[in-house]
Parts: sequence; C-alpha cells; structure tokens
Amino acid sequence: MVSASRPTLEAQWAQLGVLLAVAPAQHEIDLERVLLHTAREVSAHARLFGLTITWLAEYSGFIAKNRLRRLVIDELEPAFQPALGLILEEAITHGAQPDLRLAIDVCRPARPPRPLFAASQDHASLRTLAEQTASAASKRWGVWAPAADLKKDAIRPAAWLLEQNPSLRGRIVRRGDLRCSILETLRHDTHGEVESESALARLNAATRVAVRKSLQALVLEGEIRYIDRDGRGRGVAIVHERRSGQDGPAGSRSHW
Amino acid sequence: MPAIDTSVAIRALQRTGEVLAASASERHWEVVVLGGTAGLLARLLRPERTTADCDVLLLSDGAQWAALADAARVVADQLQLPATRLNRDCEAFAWTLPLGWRSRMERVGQFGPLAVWRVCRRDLIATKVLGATRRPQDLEDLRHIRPTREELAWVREHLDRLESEHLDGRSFDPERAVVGVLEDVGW
Repeated sequence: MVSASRPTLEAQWAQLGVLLAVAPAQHEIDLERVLLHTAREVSAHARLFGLTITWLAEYSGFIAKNRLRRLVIDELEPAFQPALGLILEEAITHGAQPDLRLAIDVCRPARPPRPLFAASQDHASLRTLAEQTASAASKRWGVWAPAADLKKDAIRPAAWLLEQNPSLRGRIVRRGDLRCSILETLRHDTHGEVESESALARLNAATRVAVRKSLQALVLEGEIRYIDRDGRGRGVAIVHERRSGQDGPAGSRSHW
Repeated sequence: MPAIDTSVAIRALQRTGEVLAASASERHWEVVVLGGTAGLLARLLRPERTTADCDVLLLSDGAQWAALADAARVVADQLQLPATRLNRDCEAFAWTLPLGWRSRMERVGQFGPLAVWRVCRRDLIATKVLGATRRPQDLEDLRHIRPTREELAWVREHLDRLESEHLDGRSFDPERAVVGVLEDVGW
C-alpha cells in the first residue's frame, strides 16, 4: 500500500465535502479505506453514522465497489463489519447504488447484539433505550442504532467535491465499476503495476473474465497498458499513476 | 490540523447579512441559532465532532423567512456550501425549549440587518437531553459538555413540565434515564 502520514478521519471527510467544522485534509483520499476507517470509528463518533449514509446516498457512484469488497475481506476486522454493513445497507435504502451489496455481502453481523455507539454501551438504561429505538436494519446487523438521521444540509455540492478532489472525476465517470476498482487498486494498493491479470482479479475480488473485459476497456481509454515480463507472462501497469495538476488534492484552494 | 471552528458559521452569517443589506430593504431579521452550531459558537462542542450547518429559529416576522433563505442560498452558492445549510427545520421542536429561553439568549452578532443570537448553555443542554433518546450524537455531545448537577436538576424540572403539559400524555422517562446516567456517571 502506498501511504503517507494519514490525516484524521474527520479531515478526510471534510475533504470529501462533509461540513464538519475542521479543515479539509488537503490530501489525496483513499475513499474505500475511509469507509473502513469510518466503520472502526463510528462507535465513538455517532455523528459520522448519519453523515456517511447521507454522503453515500448522494455520492455512492464514486465508490469502487469491487475494491471495497476486497478490502473488507482483507483488512476490516470482524468486530467492525456490522457497522459497515449497516451503513451501506442504510445508504442503499436512501438512494445509494445497489451494487454496494458487493461489499455488504462480505460483512458479517454482530452476535450477540449490542448498541452500536459506545456512549450507550456501558449503562443498562442506555442499552435498553438503544434496543428500544433501534431500526430494523440495525437489529439485523446486531448493532442497535436508530434510523439514520440524514444531513443533506451538511454535505457540500458535487462541484466543490470535484474541485477539491480532481482524482474523483475518473471514478464518477466510471460510476465506481470494476474499471474504477482496477485503477484505484493499482493506484493505492500496488506501486502502479501487478504481475498478471490473475493478481488483479484477486485484488478486486472479481473473476478473471470480468477483469479482462475491464482491462480491454481501460487499454482503449489509455489508462493502463500491458507489460511484457520477459516471458513470464503479461503484467498490467497504470499509464498515469498521477497526472500533474489533475489527480492530487487541490492543496492551495481556499476552503471557502 | 487547523480547525475552521466558528469562522464557518460567522463568515456565512456575515455574508448573508451583506446580501440582505444589498437588497436595499429597510427590513431587519432576527434569528436564534440552535443545535451544533450554537454549541460551536459557545465553544461547548468540538469542531471535529460538529457539523457547521445552521439550525435557526426566526424571531422576526415569519413572512421574512423567504428573503433570508434566498440570501442564505446565494451565500451557499458563493461559498459552495449546501444550499439548505441555513435552515429552520428545528422549529418543529421549538416547543421543547425550556421556559424563558428567550431571556437567556446570548448574542452572536449584528450582521447588517441580520441580528443573530444563540441559545445559552443551559438551554442547549436541555435540547441535547431531549434529542439524546433518538440521536446518539447528542449523548456524545452531553458527555463532552459535562452538565453540572445543578443543570441536570433544572433539566429534570423541565422534563416534568413538558410531561405535565403534553396533550397526548407522553412519558419523558427515556429522557429522565439519560439525565440519570449523566448524574450517576458525572461525565
């Protein structure tokens, strides 16, 4: 994984247009890992629950679903999978793309059930209250939470989001499909290339046939190229790992 | 990480006042801020845990809302903020404010023809207790604010009054449970 010092989760969401009262991260955002990070933190930061669902309801087209599925399998601890499953399911209920189910399907519910939010976990009366006010979906996931409190008035418009995060433009053009997952995997999880289509299929939790079709499209789009590995098969490399002036965050722009 | 903090709210309010002033109207507007932004302005809540949308009650003539909302939308467009960032959705819950809240309001500022107030700490705590039964973030906010025993006793009296006056006989026991936890734990 290619990573630098990571800004706070709140700063990353601010960079993604959530109107938390902190400065945006000014950092390229790994969107799928932000969702994993959110699943880990939401218990102690309840406001993120409704904000993430609202953001996904508006902007789920940016999410690389296959990559998210694979990251859940490889990186998300079982204790946090119920929170992510619930967030994604609630997001679909409120209008997010149904193919988020690719990731939902690999999340497992919590047993025995408990309040999702830490503030309610240590007190019997609050646990009872959490169960009484829990949504049906949260009960299925074993993490009691009320129905999502959508906050559309706390999510910035798409124009701001794209201005601050130019790299998201390619994601939305591909509506988060397998091509998008392949590019984001090459960008964030490798050093820009992999040794084979099979490796790419594993990294995207997808079939080789589906990956091959997507690669053919990405070659035509000029985004990836095949590389000869001296008779050891054919690798895949991203053409422009970072386009100058396009892919990075808009570091010098004002927040307002 | 630099915090935007209250400058978010203040700058948007200033700009809204400028837009209203430019309309060359002789009218004046007066609003009181509730919710998270009130907590931010009072420095009671953590910026990284609070959204900067602005829930207000309009204190001046209700017919003036349209012009204020229009000005707020112009500012939202200029600053690339959510179009409905300034909203009065909270009016549906205004009946839950404690008696005398208007006399306890604290001034935020005068922005051209727009006068802005915020609810005081005690009234914010009361609204958070009432919200905490269905909004876990309010429970977290209360934990951060750390109400005193005196403030919690005052909230209990407020809950008693709401219950005694509620037309449908609603029980406020869930809210009392929240107060009870706050008293026991001393967050």
